[in-house]
Amino acid sequence: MNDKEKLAGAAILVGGIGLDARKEAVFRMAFRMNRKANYGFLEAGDTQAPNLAIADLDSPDGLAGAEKFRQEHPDIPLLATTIVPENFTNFVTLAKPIRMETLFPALDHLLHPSQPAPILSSQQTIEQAGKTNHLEHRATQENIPASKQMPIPPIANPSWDPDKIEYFDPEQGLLALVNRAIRDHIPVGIVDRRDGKLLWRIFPEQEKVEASVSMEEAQSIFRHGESDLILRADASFAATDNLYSMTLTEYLWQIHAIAADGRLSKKIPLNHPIKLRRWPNLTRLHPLPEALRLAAFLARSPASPALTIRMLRVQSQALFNFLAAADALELLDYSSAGTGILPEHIASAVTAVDVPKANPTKRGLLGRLLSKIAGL
Amino acid sequence: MREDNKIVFTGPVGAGKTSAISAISDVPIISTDAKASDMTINRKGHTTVAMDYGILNLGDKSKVHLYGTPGQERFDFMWDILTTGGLGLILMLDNTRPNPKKDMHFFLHAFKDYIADVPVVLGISKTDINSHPDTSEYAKMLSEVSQDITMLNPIPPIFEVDGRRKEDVKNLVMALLFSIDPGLGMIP
Repeated sequence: MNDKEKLAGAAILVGGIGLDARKEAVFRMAFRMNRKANYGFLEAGDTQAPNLAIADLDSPDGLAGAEKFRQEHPDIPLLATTIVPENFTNFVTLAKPIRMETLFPALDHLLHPSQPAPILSSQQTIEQAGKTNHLEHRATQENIPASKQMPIPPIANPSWDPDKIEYFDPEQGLLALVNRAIRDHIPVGIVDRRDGKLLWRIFPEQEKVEASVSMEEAQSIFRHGESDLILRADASFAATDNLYSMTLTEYLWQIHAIAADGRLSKKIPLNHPIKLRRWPNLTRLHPLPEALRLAAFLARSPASPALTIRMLRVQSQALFNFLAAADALELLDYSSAGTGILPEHIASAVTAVDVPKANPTKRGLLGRLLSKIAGL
Repeated sequence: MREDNKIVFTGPVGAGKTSAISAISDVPIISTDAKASDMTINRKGHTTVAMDYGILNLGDKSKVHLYGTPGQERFDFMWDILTTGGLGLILMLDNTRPNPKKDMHFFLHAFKDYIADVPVVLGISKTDINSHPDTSEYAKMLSEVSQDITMLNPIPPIFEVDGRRKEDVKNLVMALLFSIDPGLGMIP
């Protein structure tokens, strides 16, 4: 489904006032995520009248545009976004930064003012026109209706079948032994017992690892002979070995991604929200496919692996490798279910067909810039 | 092309802003280096006293402007001009400076209005000379220094970088773009 078709099917058309390309992209993404609400963002050249409008009062022409719009369309609801809501008491405002969990309740309330208002912070209330109309919503598990907490719908991505997911257990086998050695600060070597070759020597105190095999070789070893790997405290490299040195962080990142090999860690539930505590230091770690995009998505708000695949249309193998590597560095926060976006809520609102295809001819500025940078 | 298609590089003197812009700009950067005076001379023979300017041409007559702020605090009056509109902020911090946390605090607060609206990415330079603080320590610092400001992306990318390495700078910019829209570049 292309953008035009999707817009035609949208029940609620939203016009932007004073929004630049970046902000429009953010709203489009939010609307795509919440398919259930069925919003469509009008393009600059669209002639259809919007059902509601969103203005950025902080942009150079946002305030004037919002005032003009309200004069010309007094019956169309207008949501004004700003970092200083107290300065715009004659508008219904939503404080920046805009969040999914604040945006949609605010829009719903604009469209259906008779419905209960979003939950407000203790200091802020929705008051009548002429007074402060600052919406500050806090989404919690309790205020998501049960009807929205539905199972994840089937997904259209042919490469993705939740029933065919393979799992691995990072707390078993070689990874468990390595993790224990690191935890106990014991220098150890990992040896292939078939030929006695020392593959890696781990120095936990120095946070350093020496390797005699490349990561490509390591991948082959893990696929075909992990059971032949053993820990040895007294192993040493052969004089002829070419050694690579890396930090312990680099090693853990790589070795867990390799061990995952496209499988989901048993520690990570498919439908439970997770969030990145912080970004991996991706400029100094072995590159993993889609790592930048996945990090950006999971640092922004909690999302389950299933939802992440659905939203970003990433290959499940790429996501699972990234999650295994990030989890090895203790970057995953599993306790985010009650902090904001709920996966069931979002998942029920999203299907794979809702995620637009990247059309090269319609790429916006950001897409062109991304292509440019990637190709440098 | 809109005038707000710009990315702003900021940070203290010697953090690598000029090098970073040079690494990806399609044109030789317009740089207003001058002989450094006062404390700056201790860190760098020349420094940027006005701004650096580079361009990324996108092939359809549109372009993205790359601006580097002066690293010296007395030029902060210019930063408002540079940050009117824009795609995001790349804050480069020098790990050999005496107090990187203070630098982080200064620059995030100097640009607090800007980063409420656009994402920020942190690049930590000279980690080969001084490995601490590391990126995890910067993440902790960030949570402390940003308590009184609103950031569009409260968990920003924090990468070790060398401004002279194109790959590092590419990663900074790509992380910035994905922070705006993780859906960019989705599989067709």
